[in-house]
Amino acid sequence: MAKPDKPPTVRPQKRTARRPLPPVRGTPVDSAASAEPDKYLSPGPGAATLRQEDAEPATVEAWRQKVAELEARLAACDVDQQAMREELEAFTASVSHDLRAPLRSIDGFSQALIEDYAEQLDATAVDYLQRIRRAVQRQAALLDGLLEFAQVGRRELARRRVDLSELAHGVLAELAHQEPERQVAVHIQAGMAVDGDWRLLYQIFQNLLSNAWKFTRQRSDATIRVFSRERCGRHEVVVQDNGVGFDPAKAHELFQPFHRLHSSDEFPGSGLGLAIVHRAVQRSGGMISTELTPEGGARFVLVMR
Amino acid sequence: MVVEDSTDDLALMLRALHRTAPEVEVVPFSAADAALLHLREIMADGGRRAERYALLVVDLTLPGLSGLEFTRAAKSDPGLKRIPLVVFSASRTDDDLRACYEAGANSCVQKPVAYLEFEKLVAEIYRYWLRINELPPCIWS
Repeated sequence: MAKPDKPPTVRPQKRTARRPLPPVRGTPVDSAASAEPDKYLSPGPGAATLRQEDAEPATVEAWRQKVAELEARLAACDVDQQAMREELEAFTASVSHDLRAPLRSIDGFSQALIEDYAEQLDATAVDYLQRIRRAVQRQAALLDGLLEFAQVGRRELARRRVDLSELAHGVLAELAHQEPERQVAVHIQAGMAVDGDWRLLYQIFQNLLSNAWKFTRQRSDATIRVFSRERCGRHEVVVQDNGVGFDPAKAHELFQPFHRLHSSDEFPGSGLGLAIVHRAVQRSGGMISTELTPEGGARFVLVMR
Repeated sequence: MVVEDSTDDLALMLRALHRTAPEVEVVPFSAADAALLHLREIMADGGRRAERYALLVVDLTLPGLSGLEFTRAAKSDPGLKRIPLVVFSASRTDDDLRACYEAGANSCVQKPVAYLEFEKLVAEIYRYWLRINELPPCIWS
């Protein structure tokens, strides 16, 4: 077995002038496998090999051969990447279809039991079935989030002028429509606009504002503000609430997928919302950071490119 | 006619439909090729038989002939193309939608996970396509 950190062994080959590539670092392989060198090609170690060649090709013909060989390898890499992308897309599609279908059955037949066998079921049985149905909804939301998260990086972008004030109003109207009993004071600065992809910006604001909406639940004077400000010569857009805030020591965990800083019983959610925001902001070429307001609410600061 | 390979989805669909429109007769097929064969057989009969389908509801992912291929075949068949066809499927990628409409689908509806929503949608599909929408005078002509 070749040691991972050992310099590449050069085995004489009779038929071709091509040298075997060294095994990928950290992946010990039997030296016999170097008969199929392309299998172990990866950008890092591959690049190192070129420098480790002890002699440059001597003739123009040898150079040509070398260039052709490298082009062929590059083309093979492109084909591999394309295949991987297609595989990922197919996987995403099948996740959306195959993982969803059983959930519909579980939810549907639980509901059918509740409705069609109401007389035979006591309150406890109905409660159990309702728990099953709620779990299905949670799982469905998680799946939606996961798909959304996976797709943020892949969608085609269309950059145009987007009216953020209008977008924020739209999202909050939707939230108010879903929970008409909530009383939330909303202050959105008029006329905020940026250049960007509408879908990405919608994802960012939908998730940030849903968050603000959710985490102000326990306040009777819930307030959400969206405004812009200039800091250090940068134009920032701020989404701020007066909700429960977060532990500043754990602020760096906020944007990681599935990291929850509050229990899901207290504040239900997939744990993906801010991870989606982070990706969407990155994809837009912007930056996002968090602050606590003096009164302890959360403040998300966006710098869009 | 409903072409659906999931017996669960079919049962839930029938239950939902029965609650809104108990008078509607549903002919289920679990495979698109059998469904197509059946439709063409009726056609060969001169279309005078009583089985006149007012609506085709098709799932996309089916074993054998896919829902998309079924749509393409039905919509390029002079005797079948006038029957309204609704694609009722869980997948809803941009590519799927584009392909379905290109194949001639009259409508695409995504199957929701939540059953109550599913039930509502089935009722809506029935209401729109069989109550509001006007069918061609004689589908088989």
